[in-house]
Amino acid sequence: MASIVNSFAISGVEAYLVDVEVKTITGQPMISIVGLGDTAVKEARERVEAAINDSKYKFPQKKVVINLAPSDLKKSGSHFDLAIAIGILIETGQLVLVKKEKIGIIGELSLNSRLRACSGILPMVIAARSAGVRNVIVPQDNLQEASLVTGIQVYGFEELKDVVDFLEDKKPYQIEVKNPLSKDREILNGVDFCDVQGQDGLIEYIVVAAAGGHNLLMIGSPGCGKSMIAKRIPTILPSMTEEEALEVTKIYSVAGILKEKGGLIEDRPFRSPHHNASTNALIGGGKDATPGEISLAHNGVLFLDEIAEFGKNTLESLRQPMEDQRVTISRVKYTNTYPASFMLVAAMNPCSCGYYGTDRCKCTDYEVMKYRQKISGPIMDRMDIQKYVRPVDFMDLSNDYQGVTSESLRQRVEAARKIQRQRFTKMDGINCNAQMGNQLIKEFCLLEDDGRKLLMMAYDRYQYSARAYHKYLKVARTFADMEASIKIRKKDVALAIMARDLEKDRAGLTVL
Amino acid sequence: MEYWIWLTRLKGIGPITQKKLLAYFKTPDQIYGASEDELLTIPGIGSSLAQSICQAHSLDGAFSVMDELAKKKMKVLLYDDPLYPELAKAWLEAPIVLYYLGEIRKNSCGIGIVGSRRCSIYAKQVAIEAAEYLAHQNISLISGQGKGIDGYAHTACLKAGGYTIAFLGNGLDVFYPIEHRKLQAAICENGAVISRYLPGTKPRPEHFLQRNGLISSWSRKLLVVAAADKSGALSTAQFANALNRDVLVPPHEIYCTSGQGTNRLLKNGATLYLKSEQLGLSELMTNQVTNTAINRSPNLSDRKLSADESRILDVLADSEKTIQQIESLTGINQVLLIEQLAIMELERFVVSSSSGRYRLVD
Repeated sequence: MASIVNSFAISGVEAYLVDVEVKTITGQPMISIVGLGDTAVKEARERVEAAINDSKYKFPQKKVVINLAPSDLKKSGSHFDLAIAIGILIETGQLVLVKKEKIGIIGELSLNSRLRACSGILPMVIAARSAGVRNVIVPQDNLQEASLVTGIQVYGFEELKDVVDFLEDKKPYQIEVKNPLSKDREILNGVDFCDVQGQDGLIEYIVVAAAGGHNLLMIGSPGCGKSMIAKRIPTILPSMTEEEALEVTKIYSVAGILKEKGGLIEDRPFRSPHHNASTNALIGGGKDATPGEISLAHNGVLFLDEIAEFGKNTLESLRQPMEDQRVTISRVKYTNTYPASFMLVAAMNPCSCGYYGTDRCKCTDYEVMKYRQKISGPIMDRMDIQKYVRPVDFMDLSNDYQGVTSESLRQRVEAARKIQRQRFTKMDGINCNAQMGNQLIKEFCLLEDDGRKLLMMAYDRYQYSARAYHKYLKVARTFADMEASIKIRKKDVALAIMARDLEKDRAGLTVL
Repeated sequence: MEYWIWLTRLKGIGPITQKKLLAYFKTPDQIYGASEDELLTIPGIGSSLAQSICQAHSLDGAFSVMDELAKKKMKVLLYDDPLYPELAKAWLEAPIVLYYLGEIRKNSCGIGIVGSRRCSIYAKQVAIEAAEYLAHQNISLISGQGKGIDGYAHTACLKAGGYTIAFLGNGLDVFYPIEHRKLQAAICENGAVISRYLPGTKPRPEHFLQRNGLISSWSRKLLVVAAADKSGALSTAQFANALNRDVLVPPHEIYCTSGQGTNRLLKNGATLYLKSEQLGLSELMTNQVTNTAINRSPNLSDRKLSADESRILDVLADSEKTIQQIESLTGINQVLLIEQLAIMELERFVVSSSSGRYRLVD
């Protein structure tokens, strides 16, 4: 009878249970791994043989067949090494299992039998829990990540020998989970909105964007502080719920970049890909259909600096994930769906020379329009808030000027979010005002008469497009929520009208 | 018409000689049928030229041009056409055949507005105001569909419902600059785009000199909004001077490079341009009364201003200001200011500029 050990395989951000079956058959000494493994899985035989020999066990001089069941699903990764090695030792009688309950085994082996950390631990341990596995063995380096999952016992080891001793109950498990050193975080990121001076008006719009989950576009000349402001946006976002944090950590785990971060990701991610990024880098891809920047920014901020310089196709590819809040990547071998619910923050220059509105700019209005048209209508449509960032003349700041701290801004954001959560409790998949569809807007964005009049005036004056109507209502709704007002008041409408500077600008351009 | 086009396609003969020939033979088909000896009697035509005219006895080229024009729906304005303005004929080099798209009105000469491609906000403002004035006065605006001032003038004129004519330095089906493609289409709707060049002709520097001559010759007065030293707009002004047309020039700062050419024009005797009424044409002004006031109408509402609002208006009384400046002068916080200014802008108490500054509605 074949020996069976449990391990896991990754598919997208989810994992599933894999039975690693090992059988020795009389015949020429060789080892063959079946079950649609990729090259990393196939190469496990070399690592496993070296590690078994290194630990002074005997590698069988027989034909060894290893099957990764279910055998019709493609598997990848080096984390099957340990399970294969344990399976061989059990099959050859060099290891006698004392514990009778199921144990999940994850880990890559080095040639001198040490355990190496691998990616995707978090989803695998979650899969173990849901499959009813009570104990999971992981490499020591992954222990912190694995112990994020509650309701399951995880064990971390450094060497193959230790694992064997533990399974034979020769040595009791004693390594304790170290306390994560997460308190350094706040000092490292030491950015705060109070560093931004004289931009109170703009900050108000940014707070509203954060509170309502609205996408934000900042337009300004080089060096006016767009990036400085963008970097501070994560500091005012509401903290993540545990569920959200786990989602984010899972994606990072699968992408294999969690090792640097260590433990649960508690800060909302802030991703700022360079404008040279390819479509695949942004939405995900590669031969293994790995997550892209939009998924890495899940529950956080995707900051596209110089958005006008991004490839047109790359930008257009954002449209569908922005609607669906997830993205499906299909490749020859894999088709994976990753979550991608992010707040898009973008920055751009107002024109190709960058100084529109000042005497330095000599761009003609047609050139300005052409530059702005680099961002297509549908993308521009999704930017609920488009604000100019005007350079501040420090002579205008009074001496006792005090910036507003991120903490106080964040509290206002949290308060507004709370109102929205209550509003949308019954709606599935809608958490904030920005996600409202037309039906919900009709239901929740009722205007008072003078507010409606004001909006109509703005329509005439700035020649706003009809489809933008709802955008203003949504933003006005968030402005009202900021002050816990049930109705949308005239002042909310007034502020919302000023939320789309580019559109307002368009009416002022001398173009046809 | 084929004989006209044939005449323009002869090598070695420009508009001046063409007109000499026409003066003698009356019509181009007579020239086509003329003998070498007959041609030689005309002063300025040598034996080789006469020979080449006689040898070019084929109308195939002219017919293929006409086919192309018909296909592209382009029209031809001949020198003897009543629509060809007498004023424009004052220019000796005025071409005998012009191709155009759109509609040429009777008596379509108007006011020329030219200027540099790269211009200041000030120059742009001058061009737009002048163009709007002309549109409201129903005077045709002549320009060159170039970037910058030309484009602003055409656009503002069309937006105000005026009639405008653009002269090109290239074939009518070659779009230059490419960003004015839509503008050109709009001019064809409410004016005309005219070129002396056959379809397909690429823009070349020497073409633009000819175009500048056309602009000047079709203009009763020429407004040169901004021009650096050695610019195309200056050459247009030279043509206008040679044709004895009034050249108007707004003053520029003496340090501003894009205004040095125009300032020199002023020094050399051009008329100082200070207000758009100077562009009026007395003989055309009889039926139209100025209605420029329409878009300048002061605030719509006669409601009482709040204390904050009147403070804002006080602060803005002397000059335009950024929101930070208003904040520090009034002590009202920015968020409240945005709200107030939004309403005040909609009710036309204040306007904001592209630089984000607010000023009072004048």
